Amino acid sequence: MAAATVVRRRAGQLVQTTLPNASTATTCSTSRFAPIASQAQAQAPSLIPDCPSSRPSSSRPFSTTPSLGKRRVRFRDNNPNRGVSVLYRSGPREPRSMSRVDLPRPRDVDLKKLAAERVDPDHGLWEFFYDKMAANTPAESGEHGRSWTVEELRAKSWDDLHKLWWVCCKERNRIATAANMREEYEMGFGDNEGDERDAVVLKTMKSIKHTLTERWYAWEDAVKLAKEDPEIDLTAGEGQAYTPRDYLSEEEIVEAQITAPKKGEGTSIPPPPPTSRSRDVRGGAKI
Amino acid sequence: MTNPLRPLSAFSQLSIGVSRTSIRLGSTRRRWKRPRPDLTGFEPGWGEKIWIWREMHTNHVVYSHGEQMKVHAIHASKALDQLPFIFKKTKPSKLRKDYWQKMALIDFGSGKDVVGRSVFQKLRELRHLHEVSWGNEMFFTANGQRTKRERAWALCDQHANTVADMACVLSGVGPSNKMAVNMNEDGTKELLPVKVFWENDLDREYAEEWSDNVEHRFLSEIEKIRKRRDRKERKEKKKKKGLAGAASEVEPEQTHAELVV
Repeated sequence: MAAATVVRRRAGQLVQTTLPNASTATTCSTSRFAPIASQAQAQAPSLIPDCPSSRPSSSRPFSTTPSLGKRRVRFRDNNPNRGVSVLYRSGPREPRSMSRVDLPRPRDVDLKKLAAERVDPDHGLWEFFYDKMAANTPAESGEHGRSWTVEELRAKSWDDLHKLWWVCCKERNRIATAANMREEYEMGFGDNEGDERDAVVLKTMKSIKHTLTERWYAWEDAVKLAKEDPEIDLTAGEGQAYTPRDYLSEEEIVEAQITAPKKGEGTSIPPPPPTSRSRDVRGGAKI
Repeated sequence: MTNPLRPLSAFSQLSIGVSRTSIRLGSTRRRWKRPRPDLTGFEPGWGEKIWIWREMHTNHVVYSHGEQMKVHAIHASKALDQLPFIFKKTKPSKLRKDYWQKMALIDFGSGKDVVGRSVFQKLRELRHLHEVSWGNEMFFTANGQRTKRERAWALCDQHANTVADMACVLSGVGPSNKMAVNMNEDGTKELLPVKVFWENDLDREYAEEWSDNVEHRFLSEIEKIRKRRDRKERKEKKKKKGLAGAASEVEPEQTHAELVV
């Protein structure tokens, strides 16, 4: 059994106090050990029930060696941030090299407002985007109809076809921009829908070319016919080429053949309206 | 018999000259560590660039000399150490690649790694001061008072503070700031010219003023330059491969010839 004796200092005297339930026979409080014990208890209150000498402990038995009997105090807890709190504005633990400098404070600006002020909302380059967004959602880019067919386009005028061509160019630019954005931001979706949309636009553009090629051949044939047709004078002014006749006398036919200029002499056939054959679609659409 | 060791008189017991009692029984070890930059073992060029990373949602900001945000295992702790614990859940337990994006890059130029490391230290110190000694305005918002939790999240947001710090440090402010290369005769500092590459050009508006030695550019420029370089390298590789292929075609003929011989 461990010692149950407590020694306390009172008015410079060492007084032994024996706890009532402890047996005096097994105490270690001889006069020889008393000063050591008192040293250990000097800072403690007068009666400590769980002081090392009074506590029955198997892990740390009573030792007469002073160094082991001394109370262990760790002065360092290896925490360099002890007492530093961000939430409670504790300040730094020790002054830093920048402590004497006025802490730089940021300007109170709203970047979104600034951005809105700087960029013109009606700038032409916005037409490269869908609703000023980087890219469409797949569902949005999936919402499109079929392409124009050649049958439908045959009935359209030159101006209509010209307009439709440039609408297609702009649409292709938008699709390409969205694809570029998807790649840049690594979105990982929407490529399939974008390609489908592009295919539809491309088909319309092919149909336009098809229609115009048909017209070109038709015009060439018409010119050939017109050259053989005596009622048509290609050298005449605009709107006066065709002079319908009910009949012609043989003399008149002979005269007409004689007076008609030979092929390639003085015939100035106006060329057909130019077909747009520019392959560089992106370059062509920079309006 | 007189003892030979015994002093002749009491006079000799007086301490004259270097007294024995004046010797202080203290440790002679140095109280502070002398900095030894030669022992740091930095790779050459470590510090020429400072990459600044920002978390998209919380606006946590982290500085790094390396370009890659290392998210795995022990490397991540380097970045995570820069984020203090403020309140429950405010400190991320790990770095998510998809949440962190490059905010800016400070380029000091080749051979200026010492300056870069000095600026890095200043930036970290200012960050700590921002976190630990903030103003009273942190208690309030436009609508009213912040709760403790809200204040914690507001303190995580160091986006604007970082830009202000950058402008301050790059203008040579602070003791032993190595941005100041020389002192002019009129007492002004001669500053090292640096380039700052921004992901978002508007960010720099957070600073009151930028010194003239700072050149502002876009981060995307770097990507373009790299892509161009990569393309060139790929072409060269292809060319080499082509040459190698041609060589391998020639080889069997040679072996055949050898066999014939």
